[in-house]
Amino acid sequence: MVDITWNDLEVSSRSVVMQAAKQFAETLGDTPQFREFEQSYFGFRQDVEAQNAIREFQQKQASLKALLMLNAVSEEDRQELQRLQDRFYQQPSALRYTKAQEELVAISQEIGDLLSKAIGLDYGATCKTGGCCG
Amino acid sequence: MALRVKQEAAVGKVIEMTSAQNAISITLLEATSVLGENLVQSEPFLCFQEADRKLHVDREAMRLLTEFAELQQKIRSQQHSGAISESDIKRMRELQSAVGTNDSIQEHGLAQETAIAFLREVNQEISNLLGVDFASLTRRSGGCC
Repeated sequence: MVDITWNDLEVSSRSVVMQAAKQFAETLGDTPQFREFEQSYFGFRQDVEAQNAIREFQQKQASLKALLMLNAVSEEDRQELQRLQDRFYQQPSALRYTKAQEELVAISQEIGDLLSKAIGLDYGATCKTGGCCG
Repeated sequence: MALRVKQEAAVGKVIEMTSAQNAISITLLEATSVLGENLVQSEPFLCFQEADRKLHVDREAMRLLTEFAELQQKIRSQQHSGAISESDIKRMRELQSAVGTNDSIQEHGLAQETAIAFLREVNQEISNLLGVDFASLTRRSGGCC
């Protein structure tokens, strides 16, 4: 390890950093974007029609997985998959949730950039664990 | 006509995204700034900065790293053509051993790992409170996924 003695006044202790993290999370959790994200998520989860629409789309997609990877889906199946996807995206609760997620991601990316600049490491990439898609 | 509608929709989307980015409150910017400053002033990050400074003034370590990176690149391109030079492989092994025993490089690696582990803990704290992985929200698309 680097053998160095820091001036205690200049060092942020672990508890101070964790307190700043807590304060940050509370502030982000209080933003209109986060509140809308949470509310739209619960709305989406409770919307039976939207849940059926996404389930049907995902089931169809899973059943065609191998063919999709080989780009060998029949025109009929492709149209059916598109129809199910369109039906899902037309659900008002799904639209609201997708829009809320986009807006939360937009401000989170800006904040992530600010944090990365401050610490000299890519915040999002550095916090990624478990392989390339973890 | 359809293209024009698409273009207009794309412009609308850009405006919408920009307004979302501008919608970051002063309070959130302040909380971000306080978090960033405290992270930089934490012991793991101070150690990392010091190790980074030491590494960059260590000429021998920097020379090793430069040669290592250049040779790695050379071998990678040789792999494509299927003609890897024996002397390059030998030199690569020597460099790997030298990098593995160089104090500045090893300290830098260890300090970086410690800082990353601490940053992940901080992200975990934030994510637990929010109920969603904050780091994944910050990533811009691109890369393997």
